[in-house]
Amino acid sequence: MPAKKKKPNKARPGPATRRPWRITGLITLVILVIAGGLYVGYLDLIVQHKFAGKRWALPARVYARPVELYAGAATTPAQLLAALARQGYQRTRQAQEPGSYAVASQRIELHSRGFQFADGDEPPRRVMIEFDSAQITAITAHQSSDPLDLLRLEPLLIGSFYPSSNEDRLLVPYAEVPQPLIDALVAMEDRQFFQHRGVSPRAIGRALWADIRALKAVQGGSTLTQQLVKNFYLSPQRSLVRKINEAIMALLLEVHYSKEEILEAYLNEVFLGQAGRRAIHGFAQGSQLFFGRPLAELEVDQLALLAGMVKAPTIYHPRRHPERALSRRNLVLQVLADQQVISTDESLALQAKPLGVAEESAVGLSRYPAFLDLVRRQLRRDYPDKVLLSEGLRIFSTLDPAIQEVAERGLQNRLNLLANQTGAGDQLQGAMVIAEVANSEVLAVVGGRSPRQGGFNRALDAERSIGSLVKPAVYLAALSQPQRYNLNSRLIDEPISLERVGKEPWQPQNYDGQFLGEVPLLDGLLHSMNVPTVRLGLDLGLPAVVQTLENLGLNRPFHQQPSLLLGAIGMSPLEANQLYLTIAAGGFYTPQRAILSVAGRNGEALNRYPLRLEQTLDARAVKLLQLALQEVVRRGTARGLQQRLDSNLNLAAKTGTTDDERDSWLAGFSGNFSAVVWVGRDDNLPTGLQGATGALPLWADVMAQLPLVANYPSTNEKIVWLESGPGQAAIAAPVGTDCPGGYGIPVVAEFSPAYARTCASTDGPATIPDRPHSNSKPLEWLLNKIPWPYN
Amino acid sequence: MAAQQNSLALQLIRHALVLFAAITVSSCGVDYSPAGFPADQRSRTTLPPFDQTPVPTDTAPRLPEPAQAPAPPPVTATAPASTLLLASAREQLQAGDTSRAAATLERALRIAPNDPYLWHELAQVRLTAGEWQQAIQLANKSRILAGDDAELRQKNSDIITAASGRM
Repeated sequence: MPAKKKKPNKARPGPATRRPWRITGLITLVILVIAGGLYVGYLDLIVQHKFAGKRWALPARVYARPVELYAGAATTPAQLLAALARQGYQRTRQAQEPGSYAVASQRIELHSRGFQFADGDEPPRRVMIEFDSAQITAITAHQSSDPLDLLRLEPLLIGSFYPSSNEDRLLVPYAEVPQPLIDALVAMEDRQFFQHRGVSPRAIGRALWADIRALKAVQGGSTLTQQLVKNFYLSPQRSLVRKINEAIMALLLEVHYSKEEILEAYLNEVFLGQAGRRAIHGFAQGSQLFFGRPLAELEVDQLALLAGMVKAPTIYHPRRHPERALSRRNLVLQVLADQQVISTDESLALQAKPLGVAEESAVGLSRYPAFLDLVRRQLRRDYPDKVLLSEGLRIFSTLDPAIQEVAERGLQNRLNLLANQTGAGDQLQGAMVIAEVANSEVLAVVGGRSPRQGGFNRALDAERSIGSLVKPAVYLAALSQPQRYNLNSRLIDEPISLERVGKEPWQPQNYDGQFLGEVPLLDGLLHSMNVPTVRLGLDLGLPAVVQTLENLGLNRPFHQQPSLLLGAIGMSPLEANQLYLTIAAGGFYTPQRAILSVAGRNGEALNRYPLRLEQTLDARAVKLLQLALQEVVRRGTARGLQQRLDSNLNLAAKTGTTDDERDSWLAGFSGNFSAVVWVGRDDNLPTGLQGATGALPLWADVMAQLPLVANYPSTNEKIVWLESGPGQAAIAAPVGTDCPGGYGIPVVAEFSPAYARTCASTDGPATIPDRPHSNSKPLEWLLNKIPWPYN
Repeated sequence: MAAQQNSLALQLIRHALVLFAAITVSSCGVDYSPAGFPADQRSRTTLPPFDQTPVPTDTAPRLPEPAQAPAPPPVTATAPASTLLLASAREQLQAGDTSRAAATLERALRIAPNDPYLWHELAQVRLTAGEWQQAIQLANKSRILAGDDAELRQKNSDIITAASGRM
């Protein structure tokens, strides 16, 4: 601009023209000053606006369910140590610092980190935890004999939902930044930081001199403030204008804010490397990425490494270039000694240490993509993406990392084995869902054989025919009419043919192709017999079965046709698990939950997802079904479970196999966990596996490693046990009922036939039958033959 | 205030007593127990219902192992932890923070899922929050787990009556 104006002035020489030239110059100067002032004011607005507001889009963070420690918890030392390892606790001699522990025989001394939970603060605590072979026996506070009733570890961070920039950042307040990190950063990047006013003429001069000597740009003269301005406010292109803006803004920043505030922003802004698609920003996140621990717990050498990485995070990446990283770290330690921040001896001792970087797999975030998928879907109902990806929400989920990992390993190992056996190779796939019976909280979701890689989430998205998994719904519909059906009712097992419009008649067969004439209702379920089940279902009417499925928790439209009775209905493993959860919970329906609560970035509670339940089924009918499903495990189609799992657990389960062995299912529950396994191929081709040969061993592999609680017969459901005779239903009777042979027939007390013989009860007077009992021929009341209109 | 503390203390003592009673009863083994089967029945090899049926013999019932006392429900051990949470839930409820009290009780239920007192207290919280339907459902859940505890059954009935009256 000024150059243009000078030309006309030079064209008119002479004294007469000097005065206008001066005026023009003065005006130009005034305009320039005003423009400059306006421009600086404009930059000042930018500087203040961005610094004062929410500075960064923060990812939402998802936490697992925390480990609860209390006397009586079924936690072994090995399990606790595994949890501590997952959370980056360091084994030390004395557990003096938060995030560390010490091990003695049958005792672990632990110094927890503390955490701000949505339902209250958990302070850091130093405690002694004592164990016996199966559980925690006592927890006492450090140097005290007072028992501590309850302690929870901070929850494991299991993943984040990132902003579109893919910036992953964990904020740390200045007060919590370890001093050695600040010392090292200032020593390496900007020694005059606490003295200068944003730019450092000396540093620029020195850098310029270095450049001139080398005849190229080798040294930057930027202060930390300028670096912050460059990263925080300006585009990455290099130009003189940008350099000038940078200097002005650095000066402005220093006018408005303290050194601590500027440094805090720097510490949280700084780029420390790339992890897959994520750009890692801030030292707190860097600490988690490289060491798997909070910044406050790092040693001086580890802090020195992080400070040294700032100059060139990719070049000094400690996993990819460990040698370069090591020499950079040692340079930082040397400089710290030169600056007398640490002693020379200490520096040398630290330089001798290895890098100490954690295994990448151990700190890999988003470890459980299939579960996070479920979390994200449930969150999307309540939060728009904009909020989810930028507001730094804290999401407290129900995942149990220990159970999740058992399930992942179990599924991988068993599927590898089955794939070899069947020759299906990589085509064989599977999925598993585990939830807690009492509250329907989802503990584990495995979506396939490569659980860490994400991809197709079979646990949620593979809708496959459930086959015989549907049968309990048919039998429950019958047992819900106790005036008509009990477990000993006769079901007809004879050929059946159903007309279909425009198709061949439907002629369901039993698995072995045989017909027994008639069987007790229980046996139809025990041996998963197709024909008696279809006949029972048609006798009940499809609407009754459909209603029962809905009461169990299936809440979407589906095809209502007779083949539904044999499981011609597609469900995901997650949906199938819902049905069995309702059975396990005694007829109380609680929708499966993956999220407990959501808090804002400062820990304030925003939203809770409370436990809700609804009794949708008669508790007595469900009790009878539970007992029948326990018998399926004792001697029915799921009896293979007995080989692996303690029979005293009274597990309840059902197998499922679809046409030509395309799908292999097992669904079942203990007193505390309900789990469903599906095994099959994505292209829906046959696998040669039935429920009992594919899904069953996998289910057993996983469940055998979990702290299972037995299914307890509850006393309050008005069930009586009748003696069982030949050809009749027989269920292993609990202690106290004293049925002959240990087997009896549980029935709803109100509908127990007056002349049936009740098993002697040790906790009450035995009912004396009012007519002689004969074991040789079925009692008349048991011959409850179903009229059959379809033959 | 002092009266409130008194009643809180009484409730805690009562809770502890009931738990103690439950432990005593369950350790007697007369009640239904997960032990499954008396020892004298394991010698039996065939069972009447299947003697004359074509069901394959390998499906004949295998009697479970004798009653080697599998772990009873871990009520004993979890009592201090869940009692602590129950007490703090009551404080939160008295302070009018029903949503935090509910969260605390849900945490206690993760530790002791079959404790009818926790379910009852959660019903009480829902009743206070005016969630009548949930109060009834939770009281029913507590009732089923309460067994022969007449007092608790009565308290659950009271909640159901109160909630039904408000719907």
